[in-house]
Amino acid sequence: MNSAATMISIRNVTKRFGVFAAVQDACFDIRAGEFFSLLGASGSGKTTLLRILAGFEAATEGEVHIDGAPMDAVPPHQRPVNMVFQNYAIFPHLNVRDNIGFGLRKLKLDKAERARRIDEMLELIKLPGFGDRASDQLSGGQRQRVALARALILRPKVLLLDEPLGALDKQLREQMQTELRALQRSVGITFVLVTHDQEEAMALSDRIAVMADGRVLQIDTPAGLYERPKTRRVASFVGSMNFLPGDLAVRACGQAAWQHGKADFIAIRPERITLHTDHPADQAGAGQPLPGRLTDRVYLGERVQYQVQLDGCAQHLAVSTPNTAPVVADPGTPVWLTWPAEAMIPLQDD
Amino acid sequence: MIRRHHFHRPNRGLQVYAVFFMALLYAPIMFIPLFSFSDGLYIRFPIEGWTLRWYDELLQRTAVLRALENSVRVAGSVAVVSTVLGVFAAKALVRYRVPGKGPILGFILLPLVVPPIIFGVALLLMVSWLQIPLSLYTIAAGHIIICLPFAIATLLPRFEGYDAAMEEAAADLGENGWWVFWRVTVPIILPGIVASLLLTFTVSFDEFVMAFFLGGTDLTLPLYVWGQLRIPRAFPVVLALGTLILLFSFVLVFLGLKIGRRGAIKLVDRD
Repeated sequence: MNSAATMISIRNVTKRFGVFAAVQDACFDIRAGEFFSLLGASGSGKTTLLRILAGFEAATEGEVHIDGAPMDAVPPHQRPVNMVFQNYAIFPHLNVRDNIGFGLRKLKLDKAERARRIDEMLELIKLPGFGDRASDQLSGGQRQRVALARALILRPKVLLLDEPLGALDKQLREQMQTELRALQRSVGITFVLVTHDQEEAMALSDRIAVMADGRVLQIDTPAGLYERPKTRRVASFVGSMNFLPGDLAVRACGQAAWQHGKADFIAIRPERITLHTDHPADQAGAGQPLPGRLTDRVYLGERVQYQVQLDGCAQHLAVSTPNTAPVVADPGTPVWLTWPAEAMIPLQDD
Repeated sequence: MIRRHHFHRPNRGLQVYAVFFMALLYAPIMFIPLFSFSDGLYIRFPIEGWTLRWYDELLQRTAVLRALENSVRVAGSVAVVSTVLGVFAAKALVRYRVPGKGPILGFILLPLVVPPIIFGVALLLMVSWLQIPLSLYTIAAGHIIICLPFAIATLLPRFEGYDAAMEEAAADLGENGWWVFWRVTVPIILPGIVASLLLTFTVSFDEFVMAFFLGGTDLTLPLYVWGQLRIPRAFPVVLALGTLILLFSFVLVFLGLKIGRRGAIKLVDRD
């Protein structure tokens, strides 16, 4: 597949409800065959943008093209997109088969072909034999699969997913993430996912657009967002992050190692910081370890999360160590922190 | 033995009061079926003997059957028209951002609190000013005004009870507004539609005041009963007729409530 082919083109889209701008000047492309996520807190405009793609909301300004065709005048029932709704919107009066086959009416298939396509979908979502179940006899995960099949059976150019895993419990959610990713690869359809869960977005997406207050802050791959956030907001939204005044952070790793010049802030991931209970030996070219005091320890199973207050300032740093490291210290113990220069991400005020 | 919190403990005094209240409410109505089986012409205790002859006599009267037919025709059309209008109104009120929703709803529900006699007189004035002859049609028009609030009150919770995303999902799957309505909206609110049909049918079937003002020479059943009351000899027959109407109305209202509730529970239980 040509990776450069554009499936969805969002051109300067703004949506206002009265004076409130839900989406402001969104402008980006989504590639064909891509798993693309809109990530943001509630009220960030991600759902509004998805509903503009589906045709349930009209953009106040700007335009949307899907597969090269302008969508402004196209009503939802004529768009080449299908959607998995937040609570799945399974039709309560229809059984599983009729839910999945709902959209086939217009294709005027004969009975056998219709049955074949529904069976194919039941197979795809791993629910063969569930066709005659009433819709209220399904578990949350099964409802989610039926919603997927109902949308995919029409072979849309784009599948829109509105928080599709939000209603599931944690274990099921992780299992469905894996299946969703595999499904997207096997059908090769462009997926656009809306989520507030950054782990979900990271696990699933080829690229993620981080949104806040109606604006797209940054679009990048999961690794790009995590390792090279452009602004403080993106950095704090994706994963947990420490923020330090630039000069303090540079002192800890040594001026020599720092190539970036002056930054307003330095961001450091908690897992990149090394915690020492003894003053570490000075290494050549390394900076001074920052002394502090352990104020809290949270045991998370696979990881242990520490809070450290730096001596001489009010700054707290989060430090995360894998559980394989020796459990260091109780709150109150003096500790020293070091980190490599490449762990520091320079940020400007935003 | 389950110990109950004092909040949930049964209150003996209230129970006695409730039974007494219900008895007072329904005892007078129960006299109607009771005396419809009495052998005597007059309502008095002790009852001298039991008979079914008033029912037999009732079925001999062609005027009764004609009134019954009129009533069924009026009530049937009123039920259909007010339920159809109710579906549109309820959908509009729940699904769309209607400016002045509160006042509109209040205005629609107004006939519930305005005495029918006021409406009856007002409609009679209008009908005679427009020189429309009084008939079963004018009765039906009056009844639609009275029944519309019942239809809307029955249907509103049905529309509020299901996610608007159902309709969006149907549109997303390729159906236009017309098909979304028939393939998704109607099946989901069907219990409400049936309940509304039964309820409005009953209200129209039993209604007297509007029919009295707006009726022509064709009588509905309540009008026929009213006419018979002036003839003392006909009174036991009226009681027999009243018993049948009572029974019929009870069954319809009971069915309507049961159907309406069953559907509601089915929708809410999910999730």
